[in-house]
Amino acid sequence: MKSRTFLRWAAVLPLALSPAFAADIADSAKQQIAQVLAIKKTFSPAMQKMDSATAFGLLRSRGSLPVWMNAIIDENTTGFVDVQIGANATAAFRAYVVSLGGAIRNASPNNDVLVASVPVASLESLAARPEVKSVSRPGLATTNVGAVTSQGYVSHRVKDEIAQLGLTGLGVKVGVMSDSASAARVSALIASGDLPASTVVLPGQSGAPGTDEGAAMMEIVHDMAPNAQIYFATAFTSTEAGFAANILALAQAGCKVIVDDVTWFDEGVFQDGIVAQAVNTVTAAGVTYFSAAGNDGNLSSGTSGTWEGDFVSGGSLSSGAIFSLGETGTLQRFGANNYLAISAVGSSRVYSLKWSDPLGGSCNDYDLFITDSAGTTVKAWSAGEQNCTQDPVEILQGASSGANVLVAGDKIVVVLYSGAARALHVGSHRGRILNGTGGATFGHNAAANAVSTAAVYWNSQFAGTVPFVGGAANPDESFSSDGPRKIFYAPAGTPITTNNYLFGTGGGTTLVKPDAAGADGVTAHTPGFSPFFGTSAAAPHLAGIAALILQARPSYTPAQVKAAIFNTALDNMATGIDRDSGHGIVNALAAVQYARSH
Amino acid sequence: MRLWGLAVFLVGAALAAQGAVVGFFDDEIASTDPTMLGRINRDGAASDWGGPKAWPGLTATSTTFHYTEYSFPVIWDGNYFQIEILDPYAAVFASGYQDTFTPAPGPTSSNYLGDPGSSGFLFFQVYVPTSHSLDLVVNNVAALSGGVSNPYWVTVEEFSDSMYTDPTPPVPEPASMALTVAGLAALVLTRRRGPWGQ
Repeated sequence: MKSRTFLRWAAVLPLALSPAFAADIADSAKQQIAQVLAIKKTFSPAMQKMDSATAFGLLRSRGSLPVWMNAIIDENTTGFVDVQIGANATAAFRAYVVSLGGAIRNASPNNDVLVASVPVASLESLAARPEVKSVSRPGLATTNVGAVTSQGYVSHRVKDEIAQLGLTGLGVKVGVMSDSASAARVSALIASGDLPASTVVLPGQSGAPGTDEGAAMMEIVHDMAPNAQIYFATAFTSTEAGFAANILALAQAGCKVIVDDVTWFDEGVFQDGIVAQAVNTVTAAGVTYFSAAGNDGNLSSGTSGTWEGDFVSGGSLSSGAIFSLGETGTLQRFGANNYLAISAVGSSRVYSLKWSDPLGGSCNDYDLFITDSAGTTVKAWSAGEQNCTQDPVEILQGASSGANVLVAGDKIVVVLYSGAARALHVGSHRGRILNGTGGATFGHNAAANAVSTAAVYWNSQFAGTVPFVGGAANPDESFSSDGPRKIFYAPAGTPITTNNYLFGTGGGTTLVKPDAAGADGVTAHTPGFSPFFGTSAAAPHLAGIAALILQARPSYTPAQVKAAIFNTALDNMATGIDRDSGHGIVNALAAVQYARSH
Repeated sequence: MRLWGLAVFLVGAALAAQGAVVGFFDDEIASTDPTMLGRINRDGAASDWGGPKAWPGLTATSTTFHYTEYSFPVIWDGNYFQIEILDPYAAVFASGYQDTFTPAPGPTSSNYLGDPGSSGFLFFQVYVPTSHSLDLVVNNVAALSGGVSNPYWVTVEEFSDSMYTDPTPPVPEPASMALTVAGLAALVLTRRRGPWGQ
């Protein structure tokens, strides 16, 4: 084949077209400079303690500036401004700041600098205090946020937001949960500048030894919100109760944003389990919670590893390999067949079956089997008892070697051992099945109050490190779990629609999940995570953006944070809100601008 | 070696508004391309701006592979290079060298800068000092003709720091100043095709 080569170069403007360097500046500019200096001469003693941005910002808020200056100085739309106060930050002084209506964000270790959000109208009174030496805008993030920076910093327009609006997550605590963040890795990342020195791992909750994926996620949060404080607690506790407890612990530590990337295989599909209930608890307390949607594939990409639908009788189990094991009952009919064919086995080798009974109260008994492609030999099964005290869950893990290793072509068989028809969910956990459906994301990853996050490759547009534009240029990753998420029970087990537990009869309620999308395939300094693919990488991008929003609007509720994110997201995949990426790809600049004006 | 980089000096006041892409092309290894013995070991670790990557060593040192090269000079202060390879056949491997690549008879650590660690759909980052060039080497990964004629796509970007800041032109010296560098601008524009070669 003949070599095909083409080249596209960036546009070039020959320097020779530039005008000759002017010997002087124009009179119009000189007049404007004179106006600035004239105003400066009118500064009160208090204003003389302010830096230029703070002083002129104050005058702008009073309407005291010429029109041409208003076009340059941002209008304050919130009535509050973040300032760095050079003062002896005694308890009395702090109380004074609070009495003005301000909120303390941070203080230097020797209490000679206080960072606070204060009402603009109180700035001059504050600066006039004799113990105050200076009042200035806090330093913007340095240009070096560590050795490496996620490309999502550009893709999500965080770079533009910091350049234009200056918000960096100052004063916001973000909690990260994953498998682990070892002390050694955290120390190394702090030393390289890839994590802030203030990073906190909750005592005993590093999750080490592990992959340090939590550290890589924290790096991404830091890249997106360079001045946010970051906390970590492992989600790989021995029980889901431990995971839930760590969610609560991070909230208790003051985290206003929490993000995780963990799925427990046995989490409920049609009802919020203990972890999702913890998410609900912290959300009610004001925490905005982000969760990776999962990497189990999606119908739109042809990579579904999920089947959801109602039980349909495929006839009595009266012969064959499963019957020969002693199983009785009724086969599930999947379309034209009494089985689902496996097209690819996932690395986890885990297969699950869940149905629409309440957690801890399943009275309908379903069982799960996998046979060879001929249906003559059972390779794996899960056939536990459900007699009204168990969860509606069967989970198996295929053999890793030997004659019963699961392979493409093997068949998934579901048997109703006893009981009534229910809605079913078959998951192959990163495998692929023929005739799959949507609805891959489940558990707390799809919790009603969590922002379930899909993944979009940072360079899906294949145009280099540029902002996302949405649309067909930025599709979801083919492995990103889709929705929607049907729920039949409230967290306490109360039916949402009494005596109606089927898709076909409109039972339950349907949640738009995932909610939004973030960048993946990005670089991180943690070994093994460059590139960092998956919804595990996407979710911390959104958590970092939430920290920027909360710096702009510290009193925002989770609902308001989500409104800022959702109302400004870039639509991709199907037009409008869709099962793949919900509202679309998050745009940090637009989200923060929205927050500042709503 | 494809010397596009040497043929074009970007001295204009602005690179593309959309960032610092200095190379965007598709190509394929040809059976007439030069050969080397052995290839770089794919160790799964992509090099990044966090620091130099250790030389990963060689594999298949008795096997002949084809390779081709592309050169990109550092433009202004664009020392931070990011190279993305879209290689849907996982048939090639890329690596970066400072200025020159001299197989003897296979790749050596001399001038080695970094690589993506794997084949497929990946990127890597390297730092190239000012007044030097990135010599991007792409080789097939199956013996001799394996992978030859499989297309791959490459995007090369330059930044002035690890925060993806576009390179900045130097401040012109004042005064004497008629800006006379027009002669340095040798702009080459070829016909443009979409990234998928359609």
